[in-house]
Amino acid sequence: MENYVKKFLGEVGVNLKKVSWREIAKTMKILQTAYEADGKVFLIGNGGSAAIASHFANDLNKTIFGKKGEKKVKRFQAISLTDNIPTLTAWANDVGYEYVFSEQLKNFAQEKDVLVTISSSGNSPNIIKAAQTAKSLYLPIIAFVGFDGGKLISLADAKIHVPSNSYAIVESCHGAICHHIITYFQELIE
Amino acid sequence: MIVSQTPFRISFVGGGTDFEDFYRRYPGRVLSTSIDKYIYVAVNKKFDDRIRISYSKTENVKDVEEIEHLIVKAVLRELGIKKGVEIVSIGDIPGKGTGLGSSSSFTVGLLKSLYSYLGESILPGALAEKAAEIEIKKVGAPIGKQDHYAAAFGGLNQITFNPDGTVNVEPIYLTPKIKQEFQRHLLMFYTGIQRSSTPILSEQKVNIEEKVEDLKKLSNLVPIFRKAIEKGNFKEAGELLHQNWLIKKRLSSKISNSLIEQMYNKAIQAKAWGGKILGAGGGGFLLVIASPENHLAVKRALKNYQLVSFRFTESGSKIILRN
Repeated sequence: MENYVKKFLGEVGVNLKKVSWREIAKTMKILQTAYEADGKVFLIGNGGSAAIASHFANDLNKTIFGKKGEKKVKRFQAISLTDNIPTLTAWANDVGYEYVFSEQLKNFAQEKDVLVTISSSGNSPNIIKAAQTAKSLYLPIIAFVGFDGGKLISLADAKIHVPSNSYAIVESCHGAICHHIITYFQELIE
Repeated sequence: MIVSQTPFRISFVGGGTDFEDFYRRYPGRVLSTSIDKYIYVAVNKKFDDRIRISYSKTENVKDVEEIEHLIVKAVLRELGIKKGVEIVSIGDIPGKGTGLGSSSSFTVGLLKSLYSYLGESILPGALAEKAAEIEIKKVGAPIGKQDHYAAAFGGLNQITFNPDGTVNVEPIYLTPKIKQEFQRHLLMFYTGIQRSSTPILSEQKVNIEEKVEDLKKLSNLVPIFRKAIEKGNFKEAGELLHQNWLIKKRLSSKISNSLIEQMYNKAIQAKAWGGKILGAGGGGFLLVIASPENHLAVKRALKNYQLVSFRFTESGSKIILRN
């Protein structure tokens, strides 16, 4: 059993170390440009990645600023497009699941905003569609991907690529990296 | 209406090595950061066919060729915009002659807004290159191209100008603690002098041939300065800035003057590690690096000059309003 557990822990560690630190630093930079310009951060994903999108949005909006008390500090404006079930199901039911994120982007997106895409395969059609829409609106794109990066990696400006073929490993690494990005902004924003 | 927001920059080391006459023979390097002082350029379709441009003065003309503002005229010609447009610029800092790269930030911001007006987007590298081409080749300004790159990309960067004419922009990523410490060591004072950089840079440009060795030294200081700040060694960074200033002053007789020398010496006497005049020289802003414990002494020594606070930023030129 010990080896069984340690094998998983080891694999997470090995794959985390393979992620480019420069791409993570670049992701921090891109998020900061949106923050500086009062731009919004849109987050999207399916399944476990949808949960990561919602979790990351919560941390950008609340965790970074939660301990700053009454001090007036400019905040992030993160919106997880996975969170509005009526809107999401309306597009899915009436038009097609492929459109659930791209159509929501058309409601909100402005050039100073950023899109964060989370897809282990990098091939989910609704994520690719949203990335294409974001590109046409000139938004920078951050991609959290696994496996071979899929189609998504070539559309992204910052590529957080966990080179593993296991969903468990990829999603675990994505979650850990999101937390480190939050720590960065907690320390940076006084 | 479309509004672009484009940052000003402060350059630490390597200024002057971004002239083509130099980087064609030896790689030019500069290290600079964008700051939270901006120029905003608003563009809108005009109700009639005239062209209205508002900056420190207002022009209202019928034809592009009648425009007095040389950069606006060159940009409109370049993009083939002939009539019916309004352009307004507003800056956080006086428009001309402060050494924060304002004319280049304006050119970059104007291009950013007008490309958007034409329904196009342009990547930072192409934007910087186009802005540099307009100001240097079309308008004939005796400047290098570091400011166009700083304004288009944003952030803290090492910018390398290669002999083949290509440019590399390498972001310098600092930990939150080092980034804050770096900013905590800096002070910026306004000399009160607004000057035109043209005579200074014209002389500097003519001198390139005989100053090649000095310019190589300036270029070579960049990676050393970069290492110092990456380690968080701001005393070393301050001393390098001091070396940079001593060499820079030799490039043209107009870079320093008695007032600047007086200010600089007062700062050093108050235990600052180093400093420099930002931009071409002759006036504008004086940047000082000193241990935070000596900041009070430096501020006292320079109490007759306006202290201007600023923060480093990450954003380059961007469209902040489009409707």
